[in-house]
Amino acid sequence: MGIGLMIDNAGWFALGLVLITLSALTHPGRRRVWMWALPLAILIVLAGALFPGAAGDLPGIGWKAWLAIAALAFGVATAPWYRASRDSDTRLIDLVRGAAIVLIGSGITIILLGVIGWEQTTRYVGAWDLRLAAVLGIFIGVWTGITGLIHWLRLKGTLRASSRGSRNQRLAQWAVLAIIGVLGVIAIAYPKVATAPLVLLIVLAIEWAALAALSQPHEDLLLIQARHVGLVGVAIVTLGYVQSSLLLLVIGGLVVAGSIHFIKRQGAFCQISRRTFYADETKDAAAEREKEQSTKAG
Amino acid sequence: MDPTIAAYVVLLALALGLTGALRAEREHCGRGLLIVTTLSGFLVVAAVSALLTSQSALELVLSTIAVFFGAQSAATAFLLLRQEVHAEPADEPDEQGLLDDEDREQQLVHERASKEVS
Repeated sequence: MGIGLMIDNAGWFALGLVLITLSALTHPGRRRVWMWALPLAILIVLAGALFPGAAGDLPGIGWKAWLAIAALAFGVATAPWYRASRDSDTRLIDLVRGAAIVLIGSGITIILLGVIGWEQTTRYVGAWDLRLAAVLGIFIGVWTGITGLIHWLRLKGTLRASSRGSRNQRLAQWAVLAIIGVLGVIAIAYPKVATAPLVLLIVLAIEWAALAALSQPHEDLLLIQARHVGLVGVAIVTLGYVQSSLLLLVIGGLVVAGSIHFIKRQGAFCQISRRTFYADETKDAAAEREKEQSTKAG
Repeated sequence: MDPTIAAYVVLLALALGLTGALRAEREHCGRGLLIVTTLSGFLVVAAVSALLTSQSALELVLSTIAVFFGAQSAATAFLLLRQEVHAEPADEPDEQGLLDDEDREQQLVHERASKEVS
């Protein structure tokens, strides 16, 4: 039995649970207990994939299943803990920082899965669709991870935001993106000579994503992170295609839809005390304000 | 996997998400983003399946790291969602509760009326 089928078998129950939860959580009068159904759905699928291995039904997978369980436990244990209380006053910067951590983790995961997919598919010249998925995954992973990292460093105050680039700089960025696209096509079409284009693609993608993330204005950070959540959804779709799992395809589609909703309608968050975005929460904003004042004074 | 089937399934899910399941009024829209961020934790499922089917030592190491970071980001996303859901103001009236109260009142009135008649 293929791993995709194993995921999909448990996925029926998980998907039913996810749909009920979505309708419950977006309805105003329902109980908040429903949110626990989302991790439960993920756990159901994980159990469906891990249990046959851990129980020793499939030879050669048993210890891998235990390794996966250990890695899962470590990952959950290292997640930053957010307190849930109506009285505690969260600021937008905390939310953006949390989302940046999510983006970093997801980005690394997507890059690694893309590299693994590339490893497995270069042996077959005809499997261009799988290579396309792998290259797309690597690019999305680098873009998302670097954006999350730069946002996180900016919020910590380690990095200063750069001013929005001139027209020429923006043109150069588009040119770099075009080169990345060409390199990707070369890597997909000629897997035998793909190592150099792929490495160059990753380096250029890092540069491109870092420059873009540095020049984003402060008040747009959350919207940009929402866009990257949508990109993670696209990556989940490609992974579902590679692993032939319908559940991952559906979940990826839902993630993309949710991200589009948020970007179109600019939702508000309840955990943030309602006041203007970023009065003077970071050094970035403070520096900008000082600059404005000095120009006014001058 | 057949690309046609894959495209169909993705389009269906996208349509479902765009039309109904994730639409909420403005107040809940931010919650929608955190919900799908939590859903993107399903990435860890893909990482686990890559670990289980890994063929070489390199793939094993890479996929183990992927599982670790996937689990971390999924847990972080869920904790953010939990914070958001708990931060919701309590003063919104519970619509179903109000309807139930109304029903109960009518029932009482009805019972009283029937007692008076008897």
